[in-house]
Amino acid sequence: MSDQQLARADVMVAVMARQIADGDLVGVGLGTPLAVAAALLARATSAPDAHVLVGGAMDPDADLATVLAGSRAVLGRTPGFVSHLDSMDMAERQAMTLQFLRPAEVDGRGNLNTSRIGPAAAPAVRFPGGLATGDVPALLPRVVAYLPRHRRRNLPPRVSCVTGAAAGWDADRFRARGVTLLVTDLAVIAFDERGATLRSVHPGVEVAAVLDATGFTIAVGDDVEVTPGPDALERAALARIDPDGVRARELRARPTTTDSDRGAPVDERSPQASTRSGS
Amino acid sequence: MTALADLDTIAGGVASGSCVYLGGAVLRRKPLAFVRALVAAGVRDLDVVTFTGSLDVELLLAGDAVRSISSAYVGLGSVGFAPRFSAAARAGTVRDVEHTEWTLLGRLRAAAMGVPFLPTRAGAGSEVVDALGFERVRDPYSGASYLALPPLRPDVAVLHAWRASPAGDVQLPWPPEHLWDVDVLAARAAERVVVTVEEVVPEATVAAAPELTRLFGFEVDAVVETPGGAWPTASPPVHDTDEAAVAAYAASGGDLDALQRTAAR
Repeated sequence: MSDQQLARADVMVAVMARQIADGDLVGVGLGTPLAVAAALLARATSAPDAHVLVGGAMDPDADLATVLAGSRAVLGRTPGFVSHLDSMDMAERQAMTLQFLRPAEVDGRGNLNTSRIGPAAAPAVRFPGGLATGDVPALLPRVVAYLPRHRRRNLPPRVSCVTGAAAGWDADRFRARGVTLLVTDLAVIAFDERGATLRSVHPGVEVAAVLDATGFTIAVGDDVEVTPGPDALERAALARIDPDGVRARELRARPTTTDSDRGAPVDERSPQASTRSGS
Repeated sequence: MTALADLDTIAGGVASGSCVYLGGAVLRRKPLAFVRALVAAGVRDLDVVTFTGSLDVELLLAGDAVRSISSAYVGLGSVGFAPRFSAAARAGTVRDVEHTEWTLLGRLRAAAMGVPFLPTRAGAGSEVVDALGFERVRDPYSGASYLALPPLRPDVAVLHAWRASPAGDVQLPWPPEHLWDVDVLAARAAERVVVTVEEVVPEATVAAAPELTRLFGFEVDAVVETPGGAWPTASPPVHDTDEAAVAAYAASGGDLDALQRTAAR
């Protein structure tokens, strides 16, 4: 990987980690290394009393590569394993408080698409599917979306299919607010009832470049900050958690496939929900 | 009652047009030997249900055995898209019923629990969930509205597991595989249960490690000793995913020769 990819990944991981607070139970999937790295980083630094459920393992005390290797690799480094149905119950009753999702498309209201491009009967692209992407925006108190590559075609005015819906249902009653934040390799964008607002741009990224790479309208206030990257403590923790830079895997350029030849708006690695299996 | 059975006999006994649940998760524990036997037996028009599909769906599509696919994910994990599924969904040659985790597993849970429906908050506002056409129900206590998921009872669930006794007590390894419990859920939702295993072991071996038993003989209809029956997907604790074979299959755009076991493998 390039140094630039790793630097961008570290900003994303730092921002995502700061969404995690003491008391949170975060559900993350083995197919989303950036989100796993963020959860491990938060526990190592700003949120030692947060809990993380990774691929069924509770609070694994191991480096990123070991955690991603699955249950046998973390044996002896976890207090135990949670069955998938139990983890779904944790989400439904909001004992689980936060998940990170990586969709194919996000629109200006915070709707997520992991399903397809084009009509259901004859889609131009059918993605592998979103697992719980359709479910958790209406279940959890907080859902944060992330995109390893901020490109116009991933950020259209309106998603091709609403797999997971932005807020707007009977949300207040259930304390679920849909996707409230999007973290990309360029910027941090917040969603509320008024739409999308540019919260910050990453170091070295111009506001104009973000707007140019975004298909939907973003409100830009006077207070757009530069995203704070990892501080010294966080950098030290990342070096311990992931000395080999596994976290940057999702930012790497990928080989072309039939689908991307046809103009798929994502890389071949499928959009990921939080609970998919390891391999 | 469990019968130790022959793969081709059991697969050939699945009627065309059946609803078949396939166990495993993406590239792990997929009952691929059974799937091949279904194709070889000429079974057609299956309504395939699988929580997360991969080469199982690919082989059935290649064998022209599928009428519909109901799943929350069909792909090859980190390897990429499932080429035949992607093509079939685009061309509309198979009925592609996209589910979410909650809609698919909630339906199986309702069946396994024996209740008429399962209410959930999940999926509000989702076009994918709306397209499934399920009703909503009003909570008589709070007045709130919930999605009401009806039971899904597959005609047969097929799982690949580590080992079982001749009586049909099925054991899974420790530490637990991620999503192992979804296989058990599907078995308890289905009318009939077929388990292919790496090894049939004596009852005494099972009894010596009862904490590993996840399904019991009374709820398993057939056990088929099928070593390597999940290859190239993982079959813990015996072997991991053969990533090279899966990558070769993906790179070829769906060449079944890539899924032939050779002497080199």
